[in-house]
Amino acid sequence: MPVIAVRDLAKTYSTGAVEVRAVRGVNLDIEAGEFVAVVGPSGSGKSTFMHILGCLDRPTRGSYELEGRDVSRLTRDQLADIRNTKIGFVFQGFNLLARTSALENVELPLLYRGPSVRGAERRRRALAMLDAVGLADRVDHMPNQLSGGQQQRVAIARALVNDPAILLADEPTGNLDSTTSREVLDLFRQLNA
Amino acid sequence: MILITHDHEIAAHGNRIVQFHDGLVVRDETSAGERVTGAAPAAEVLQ
Repeated sequence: MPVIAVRDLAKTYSTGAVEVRAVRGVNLDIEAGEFVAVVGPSGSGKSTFMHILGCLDRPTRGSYELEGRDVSRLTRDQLADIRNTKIGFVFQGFNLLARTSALENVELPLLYRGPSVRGAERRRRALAMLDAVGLADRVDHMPNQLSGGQQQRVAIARALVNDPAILLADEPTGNLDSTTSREVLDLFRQLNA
Repeated sequence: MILITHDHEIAAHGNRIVQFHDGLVVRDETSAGERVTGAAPAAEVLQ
């Protein structure tokens, strides 16, 4: 069973009299363990597609199954639950909380899960993820004490700490120099292996 | 792992490349250039 199964997926935005058909009927299966690059120019529909895969938006037509469950017609609260438990996000701008340590940033998704993950377990899992991304010696650093590449590594650890079904990375190297970009892409490959 | 990018050099780091154009998938192949035989991209059906 593919982890993602998309059938005839479409998204149309209406802005007054104008209809924008951002995604126009996409079929795609993605298996667990694949490292898939979705590429296209601005306005090609890739970001809209990513928003739907990330349960940040709903399609206007078609179906989207995540781990065998059709999530294309869920309510906002149900989608939020899916996002928190099944999907990890990495963004171009890192989106770390300022004045919050690397460790606390990585613990956040576990905190949102409520009392099911207790403090000691949160800390253990966050430390393990920071170690996995090569930042075991930076756990108490604030974001402004870290380089861009290190901040993105913290964001990757945060995205993976919940052991999500899928990791979505939206232009994750957009704010990094070419050397650091390669390091981050190598890290993705290593973590995906 | 799904990487979204506008940059083909970055995309080349994936094991599989799915290319969007005008709201459709116009290319779906492995990094070795083999076409993926899963669900047929709508654009390929149309072409």
